[in-house]
Order: sequence, then structure tokens, then C-alpha cells
Amino acid sequence: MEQIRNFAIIAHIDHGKSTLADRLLERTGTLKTRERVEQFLDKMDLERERGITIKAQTVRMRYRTSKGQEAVLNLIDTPGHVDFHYEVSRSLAACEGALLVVDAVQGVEAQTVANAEAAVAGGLAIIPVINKIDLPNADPDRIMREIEDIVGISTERVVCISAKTGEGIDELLEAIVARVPPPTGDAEAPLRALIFDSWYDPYQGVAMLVRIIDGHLPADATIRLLSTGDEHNVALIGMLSPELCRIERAGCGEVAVVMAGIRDPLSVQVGDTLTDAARPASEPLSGFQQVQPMVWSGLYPTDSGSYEALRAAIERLQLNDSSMFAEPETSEALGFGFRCGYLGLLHMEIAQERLEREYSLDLIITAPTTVYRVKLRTGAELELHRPSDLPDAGAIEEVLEPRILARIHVPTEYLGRVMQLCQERRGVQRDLIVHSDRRAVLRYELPLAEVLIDFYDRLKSATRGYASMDYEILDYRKEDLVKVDVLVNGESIDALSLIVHRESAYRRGLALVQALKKHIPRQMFDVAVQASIGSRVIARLNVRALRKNVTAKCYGGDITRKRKLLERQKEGKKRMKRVGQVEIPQEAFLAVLSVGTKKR
Amino acid sequence: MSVPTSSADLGIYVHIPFCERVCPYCDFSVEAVGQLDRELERAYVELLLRELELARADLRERLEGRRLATVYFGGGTPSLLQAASIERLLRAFSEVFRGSPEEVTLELNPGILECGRVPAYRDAGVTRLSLGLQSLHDLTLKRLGRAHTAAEALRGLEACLVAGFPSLSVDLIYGAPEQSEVELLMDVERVIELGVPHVSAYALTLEPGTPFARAHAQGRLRLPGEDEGVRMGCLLRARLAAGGYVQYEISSFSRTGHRSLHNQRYWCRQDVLGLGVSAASLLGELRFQNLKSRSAWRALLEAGRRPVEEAEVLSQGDARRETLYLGFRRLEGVSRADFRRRFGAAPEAFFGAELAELRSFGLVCDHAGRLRLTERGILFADEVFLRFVGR
Ligand SMILES: Nc1nc2c(ncn2[C@@H]2O[C@H](COP(=O)(O)OP(=O)(O)OP(=O)(O)O)[C@@H](O)[C@H]2O)c(=O)[nH]1
Ligand code: SF4
Ligand SMILES: [Mg+2]
Repeated sequence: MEQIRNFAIIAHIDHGKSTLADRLLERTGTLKTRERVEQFLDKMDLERERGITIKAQTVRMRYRTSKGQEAVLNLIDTPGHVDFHYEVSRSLAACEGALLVVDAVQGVEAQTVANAEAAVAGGLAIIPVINKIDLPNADPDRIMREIEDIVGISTERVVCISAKTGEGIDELLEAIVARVPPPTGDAEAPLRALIFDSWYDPYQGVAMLVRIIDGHLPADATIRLLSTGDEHNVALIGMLSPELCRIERAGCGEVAVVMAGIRDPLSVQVGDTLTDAARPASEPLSGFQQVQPMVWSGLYPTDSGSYEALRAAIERLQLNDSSMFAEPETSEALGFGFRCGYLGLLHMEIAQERLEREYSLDLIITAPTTVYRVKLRTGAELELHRPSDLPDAGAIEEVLEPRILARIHVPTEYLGRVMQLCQERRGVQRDLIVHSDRRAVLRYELPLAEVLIDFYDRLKSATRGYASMDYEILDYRKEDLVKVDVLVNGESIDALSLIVHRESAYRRGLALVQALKKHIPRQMFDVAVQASIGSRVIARLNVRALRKNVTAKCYGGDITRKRKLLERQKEGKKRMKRVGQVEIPQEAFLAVLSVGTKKR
Repeated sequence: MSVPTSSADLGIYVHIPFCERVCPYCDFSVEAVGQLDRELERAYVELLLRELELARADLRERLEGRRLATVYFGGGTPSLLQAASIERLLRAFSEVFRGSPEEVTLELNPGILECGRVPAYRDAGVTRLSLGLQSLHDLTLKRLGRAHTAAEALRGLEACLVAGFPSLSVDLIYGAPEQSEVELLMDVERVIELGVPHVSAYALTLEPGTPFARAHAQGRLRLPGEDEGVRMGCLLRARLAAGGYVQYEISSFSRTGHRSLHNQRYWCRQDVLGLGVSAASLLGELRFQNLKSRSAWRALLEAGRRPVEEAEVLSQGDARRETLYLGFRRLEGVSRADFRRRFGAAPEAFFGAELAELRSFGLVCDHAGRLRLTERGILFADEVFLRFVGR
């Protein structure tokens, strides 16, 4: 136990965590140079394509210090994006130390602060690391000041490195062994292991990543899950270094993978405590704080026959992404599907893309919405996850919407633009701290719904990418909110309903109607596309009826060809959703659903 | 009025894949040859005869002893062939099949050379000419990229009328670039006045891959608006009806006794043997089509093989669907009695839901023991046909 060092690499997005992990893997000989690919731990295609880490990854390494001290290092590379913060907080629970990486040019940004705060709260030893010192405009002195001023931790023993060139890596390894404390569990006590991640293996079933807090786990144990009391025989314990290697026992303080032939993804909960059925512990570990998904959207299979496949895929994905929520829902227009909750828009996008790719599904995704609280005249209270559930205006006392406290790090030259953007989004400024002539931290109270609609894009373009933002949920506040429904020939399409501030209802309604009109093919009759608030129509457009649809000639040589043309048309129609007599292609839903998230 | 119903007889379609030049809206299998070279003509006719021989040997039990009902020379521009070539082919057909055809149609374009050949075609055995008039207005002809002028078109038409064929048809196009309603009406007026007994009237369609389709997509081609197009169609139908023409198929108008026997074979699913590049055949439940490239077609024939590109054997279900969707093209529609005789039950037994829906949309109706398109159904015929394709 004395040899073990469990640590996470934490930072703002793109500050070089995964690249640093590459260097550590190489320098400790865990990865041979010929196996070298950049950001080795970003294993998902999605991560490689986007150049960001989505899933935290664990690796075990061996290292001998310059003084000859042997150490076992468990590294966890974490994602930097705010939407994957839950990955970071779960990882920190398995560690005694954290490398807080800060980019030598970008300096302290929003997630630097948020992640550092989480590590401090978890009582972890923090080693500040300034990365990318190879860059010509690197300015470690300024960065040190920022770390002291903004993050509030001492930089007396900061380690300066370049994860690109490898400079400073040896010094960092020495610092890890010297400054991260070894784990402090009770090796003699009954086994308690914290499940901090899991995934589904097609051959072995559920795989659990655990940190042994007390006791130890032998490979022939029968394990018990404390929350349910379920028992399973261990099939395999292993370590990731970086491939999965079978081991005979996982000792106190270690990180290990446990597989026990569990086939039902729902039976394992991240945060649960594992114990040995032969000598069970009774007190569970404290687990993790429940996350609150604030962004919800509907997920529907494009062909209704894939509903069961979607359900199975969601269950498996949730095993690997415990911050995604799902509840079954039905839509009149789209059939059977799920309402899913996410931590943010990127999280939503990634989860949906993983479902499509890893499980070969075609999905229709409805517009994201936040959670609304509705107080009814009767005194009852509702929590809304989808706009179409909003009761009639007459039954409602008030509607509350969630607000966030956003912390925006921005170079001072862009302050004006950022403030203007926040103001446009019904924001209220909380405070502004100018740290130097170059950096400021701006705090704004904003309705979450306003941030869901292309806020990040606008922020980025207003500051040429120099601003970063982090937020926490602040409160719920009463607002003048209304539900906008979309009707096609008088039939409401529940999946397209929106809750918006009354002031923007007209504009959003019109945008919806316009987008829908563009994608509904002309039919044999006029199709009226309307947006309404209650029974009041606020926007209306007509898809003019086709005047004719007839192939002029058809003789011998054409019969087969014309038939094929018609067959193709028919196939196209089959993929349309029918609302009343109107056939609506799937692209129409997709186009409409992206309205407002793209352009304001 | 009578439509041949005996499956024992046969139509022959001969495809001539040559045109003086290729019109920018055309998507037939044709090549631009200017004037057809004598050698090329002879060689093509030879190959057609070889194809006939191969078909006869290969499909003996399907072709043996058939009575030849109709022959149709289509294209392309069959009038690029000399009358002697036509005569040679007709003679060969009559050696293989019984009887002499009631109708021998030849498509012809109104060029000077072709007009000179008109009497000789009659002597060769052609009974019906189908003249690719399209329009009697120079600008429209030019915008359509046609090879002839309005004056040539008229001269050609007169030559055909004077030659005294038992029947004559002209093609008219509407919805051409910048064509006006008045202009179209003048064309129709002239055709009626001259006493042409059969008219095929087509709305210009943009076929994918043609220069017109490209030009249109790039905004370089102005076509009459949709409403105007529909109006032109209505005007034309009304005027022809008043002139004593019966619309017996979506694009075909005829005075009594002048319906195209050959074309009706397609809509009634009667057997046709196709010869030549890209020609299509239906023999019983067998549908097949020849190769669309002339060189590939020739290569196979020279190797002693039939130049078929794709063939399918139609199931009973396919036959039922075809009966309806081809049958609906004829405005008389589909005889319930015929359908029941052929398939053992009423159309509703197989297509109950489809027909109910089409009725509810007002696209089909019953009339005198027949299922047929309504007036609205004529405009939305593809919506009807759609119900009867695919599985
Ligand atoms: N010049 C230079 N570039 C670096 C250095 N370290 C990382 N980079 C580059 O910075 C970019 C981001 O690196 P990553 O390692 O993916 O960053 P990350 O912190 O893991 O990012 P997330 O996981 O998405 O939060 C990549 O283009 C790296 O090549 C360095 O020391 N010097
Ligand atoms: S004359 Fe007829 S077949 Fe020849 S190119 Fe023109 S449209 Fe096509
Ligand atoms: Mg990373």
C-alpha cells in the first residue's frame, strides 16, 4: 500500500491532459514507443475525431524513482469539458492526488477553477503543473500569478513541463511519488470497494471499475452489491496497464476491474459499494452525489421496429455514462421512444452519437429543453421534462424556469461583447473581477434555456474562442413562459412543442413554421402549418397543394424504369411520418428541431 | 375501339437509336448521327434480323405460330432509315409470324429528306405515321433544340396527309421554355383544322441527367410555371375534346377508329417483342429489356447471344399490380370482369385498402363495370400508380 499513488489529471479542456498521460505512459515503460499514438487514452472514435476526452480512463504504471524507490501509479485521465464534470468527480473519489494542468499560454480558465475546487473539496493533494512551456508565447510567470490569484493555490512547488517534448516529465514523476500520499484504508477490515465506473463487455457482461477502500478482493470471491444485496461469483479481476491483465487479488488502495458474469446492465450502479459475501461489510461507502440532468430531449428510433434495440442500447450506455437519464415516453407523431436527460448540450450530442454509432441505431432527436417547475392552481407542483406536458394556461398558477450562475473567463478586450450577449439572453450580472489587464472573470445569472440555444457558439465567435464558461444551477425563478405548439392541418405535433419566454414566442414560432414548411413536400391538398399559443395562432404558412403529379408518357421501354422510379418514391414515402393525412419526411423533424439551436 | 385481347397475337417494337441530333430534353437511347450512313444502316438492320433469329430460336415455345398484330418503328428517328430497310424488316417479320399486321407505325421527324420518303414508306407497308411535330412555332422549336423549323414541320405534315396513310398521329409538346398558352392553342387549332386524326400531347418533363435538367437546376432555363402548365393541359384537353378527339389515355387523343393499337398493347399488358438497342419486351409473365448501349448490344449479337440486359419473371402479384397501374393509364380504366376472369377475384380482394384510400381522395371511381381515374385522378395519376408498385 505504501507504494501506491492514485492520482487524476485534471484541467480545462485542451490544456494537454491526455498528451501528458501519453508521456507518463511512455516514460514509465507502460507503453512501448512503437505503440505510440497521440492521446493514446482517447480510445473512442468520437474522442479521436473531436480531439477531446469524453470518458475518464485509468491506467496502472510502475515507476522507480531516482532514489530507487519503487512505486505503483494509478493514473486517471479525465475530460476537461464542463458537461463531463461527473467523470471528473467520480475519478477524484478514487484518488489521493491530482495534477492540475494549466496551459502556459491560455492560463487559468473556467474548468481549471471548477476542477481545482472539486479536488480541494475532496481533500486531494494538488500538484500544479504548467504545460506547453515549449510554445513561443508561453508565459509561466504570468500563469503562476493567475493560479495564485484566481484558483487560490500556492505555486511554490509548481512543475513546468511540455507534454509535447517531454521536458519536465521526470521531475513530475518524482513529484507525484513524493507529494501524492499513499492510500489510507484499513487492509484488515472487511472488503469495501467503490464502483466508480462501469461498461458493458459483449463477452463478459458488466465490467466494474473499483477502488478498494478497505480490505482486499481475491479472484475467487463471491461479491455482494450493498445496495441490492445481489451476489455474484467473480469471473475475473484485472488491471488496466493499459490492456486488461488478469490478477489474483486486488489489494487495499488499488484500482481494479471486476467482472462477475453480470448480464443485466441495470443491476449495477456506479457509486455502489462492493463487498465480499464471505465476510461482508455492513456500512456502504458514501458513493456519489446524484447529478441533476438539466437538459432533456426525446429519442426515437426512425423505424418503430427498433424500439427494443434502443432500450437495450440505452441501458448499456447508461452503464458507461451514469450521468445520462432515460424514461420511456410516447409521442403521437413519433411513436415510442425515450425522454433522456443530460448534463449539457455536448453531453447530449455525444450520448446520441454514441447510441447511433456503437449500437447502429438511426434516431430522431427532439429539441432540447430544460426542466420547468409548474405550480398549479390546485396547489400541486409538477416538474416538466417535455414542453407538450405543460397543462392548459387556466390550470397554471406559475411556471418557474431554472437559472444558472455562469462564470465566464474572458480577456478584457472582449468584455463588452460578452456582456452584451448575456444581456440579450435575459442575463443579470452578478459581479466582475478583473485580474489583470488581460483577464477577467464575469459572473452572470442566466436562464438555462437561453444558454441551450447556441449560447456557446455565440460566445465563441464574440471572443474568437478566447472565452470559457462554467456554470452551476442557481435557482428556479418565475417567468412569463408560454408553450408554443405546432400544428399541421390542425393536428398538433407534440414532439415539436416548445416552452419559451413570451417575448420570443412569436419569433420562435415563425422560425419553426418556416423550417417545417421548407421540408414538407407539397401534397395533393394545401397543408396549413401553424404555431399557436393555446388556441391563438401566432404564425401560419401554407404548403401549397401540388397541381398535378403525373408522368406524361409510359410505353414499352419505359415500363420497368418508370416502375422503379415510382418504387423509389414509394420507399421515400414509407419513411415519412404521417400526421393526419399529411406525410412529413423525417428531415422535416430534424430541420425543425435544429431551429433555434442554430440561429437566433 | 376494339382492343386486341387474344394473347396469341404479338406486337413487335423496333428501336432505331439514331437521330440527326440529340434534343436537350431527351433521355431515350439515341445517338446523334447527322445523316445516317448507308453502311451503318445496313449493319443495324442486319443485326436486327440476327436478333430476331436468336429470339426465335431461344423463345421458340413463346413465339412459335404467333399472329403478328402490330409493328412499331420507334426511336430515335426511324425515318432516318430508307423505306427499303423498313420493307426488308417487315418481310422478315411476316416470314416468321402468321398474318399481316393491322397496324404498322413509323415515327418520323419532319425533315426535308424524310418527307420525300413518305410515299415509299406507304408502299413498304407502313399504315400509320407518327410525326414528331412538337410545335408549329420557330422560337419554341429552337428553344427545344429541335432540328426542324415550323415551316418544315408544316410541310412534313402536309406530305404525310397527302400520302394518304390510313392513320396519322402528331406529337405536341406543352410547357416548353417560354411557350405561351396562346401559342399552344394555335398549334392545336392548326392540327385540328388539318384533320390529323390522332394527337399525342406531352407536358415537357425534365428527365434527370439531361442538359435541360442541368440548365433548369442552374436557373438557366425558364419553364412555364406550374399553374400555367396545368392550365395548358386543360386548354389542350378541352380544345381537342371539342374537336371530336377522345382522350383514351393520359397523353393520347384520338378520333374514332384511330387509337394506336400498338401502344394500347402496353397498357393492356399484351405481348410485345422488342428488337434493337434498349427495346423492351413482355411475353406472358416474362419482362426483359435489351442493352442500352449500341456497342454492347452489337457485341452480344455478334457473339451469337441475345442482347438482354435485364429480365424478370412476373409473379401473379406483379401481374395484378401491373394490370391496375398500367390499366389506369387508359381512361376507360380496368374492366372488373376482365380482372376477375384473370385473377379469380375483384380488385378489392387484393387492394382493398389502397382502393378505398384512392376513392377517399377522389382519385378513382367506378363507371360501367370499370375502375378508372377521376378527372382529379388524371392530374394525380402517379399518386394512384404509386399504390400498385413495390411490395
Ligand atoms: N505545443 C504543445 N502542445 C501541446 C502540449 N500538450 C498538449 N498539446 C496539444 O494541445 C492539444 C490538446 O491536447 P490534449 O492532450 O488532447 O488535451 P486534453 O486536456 O486532454 O483535452 P480534453 O481531454 O478534451 O479536455 C493537442 O493538440 C495537443 O497536441 C505541449 O506541451 N505543447
Ligand atoms: S428526335 Fe426524339 S428521340 Fe431524337 S433526340 Fe429528339 S426527342 Fe430524342
Ligand atoms: Mg484529454
